[in-house]
Amino acid sequence: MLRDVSLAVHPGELAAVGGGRSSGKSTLASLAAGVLPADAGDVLLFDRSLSRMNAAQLAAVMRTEVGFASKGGPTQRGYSAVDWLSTVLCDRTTWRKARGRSLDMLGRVGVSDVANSPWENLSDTERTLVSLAHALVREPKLLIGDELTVGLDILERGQIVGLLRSLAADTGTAVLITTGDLGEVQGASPIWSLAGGSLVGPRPMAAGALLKFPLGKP
Amino acid sequence: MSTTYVVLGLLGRKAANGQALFAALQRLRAPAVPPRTSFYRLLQTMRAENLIESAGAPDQVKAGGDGPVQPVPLRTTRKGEEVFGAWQGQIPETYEALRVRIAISRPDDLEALHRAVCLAESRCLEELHLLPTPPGFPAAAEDSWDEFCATLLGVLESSELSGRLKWLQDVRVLMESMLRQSARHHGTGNAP
Repeated sequence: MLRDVSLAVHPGELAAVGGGRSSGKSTLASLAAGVLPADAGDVLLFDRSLSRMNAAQLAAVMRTEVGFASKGGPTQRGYSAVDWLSTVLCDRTTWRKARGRSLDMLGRVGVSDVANSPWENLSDTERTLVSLAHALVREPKLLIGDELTVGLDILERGQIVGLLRSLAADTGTAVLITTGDLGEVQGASPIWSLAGGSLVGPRPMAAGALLKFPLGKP
Repeated sequence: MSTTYVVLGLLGRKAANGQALFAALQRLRAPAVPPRTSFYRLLQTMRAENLIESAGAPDQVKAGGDGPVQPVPLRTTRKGEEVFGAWQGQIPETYEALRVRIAISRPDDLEALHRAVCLAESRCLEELHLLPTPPGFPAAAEDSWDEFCATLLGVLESSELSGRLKWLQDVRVLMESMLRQSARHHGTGNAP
């Protein structure tokens, strides 16, 4: 359960929320992505309230403006990485073009060599990168990453965080990641500490923030 | 100076002689535990400043002839309690000071300690935030040894800070849980 969570993420920022097990990280990530509805308070995306959207509006926002990356992969076995990405784009373009864009995105995150490999055969790092590609292929304005660095060694973590930092800086995407260890995501800013469902960290700046949680107690 | 407050804190809970106090300081791993002779000089100074006094026992008396010296238990004076109270009202500036404050705290310190822990957590986040981004991994040791060493040291610093942050997070959760319990027990509803 989250209590008095108040934060804001601006375009071009790589923001991080760090906390231990059961601190509420995944709940926060799911709320930010619109996957989970808030019991109280609100999540504002581009100054629009997620709780006031109907299912169709929320689905449209999720499809076009928000990318959510976690360690989970396709629900069906045997899906290759490129096919998994391509299905995301099928509602807006042909299958051929969708595959082309997907291959391009897998190349950008550095895993083009596993494009035709099934999810089950991928290493932890490859799964993280393919998940990122899956979240990014729609070119979202907001990317949420939930515990992407868990189980990776220092070089692999550096690769993921470096990629996220470049993404935020080069494309203006707002990136919010959760992590069990803030020391693993050097270069993220702003950073918050989440423990027992409550947050410690910088107070949010309201103007220009892309993602805002409601202000809690000071 | 911090040793003075630790002594006042320990004596405020329970009278003790110099030997027991020194042992307690060492167990606390209090910052800058002085050498034994300096410690006893400090106790004399604190007596002279009326911060501590003998706890009712007579001055050291030899049990006849060359028998063992009886240590004198000490306690805080009213002035010592006031000085300690004023010190308690200040937010600990360093991680070590916070650790000592927790070690010598009393039940009515909980709210102040919770505030101190939240502040320490914020400061830890600022330190993490200010750590320079590692320069990257050179292709070979000969290419940029200084950069490689900077990366190693950066990893060490961030590991130490994140370890400290985890401690502060756990402590905050425990304190908030205790505050909620106390609030329910007292029916105040003022817990965080």
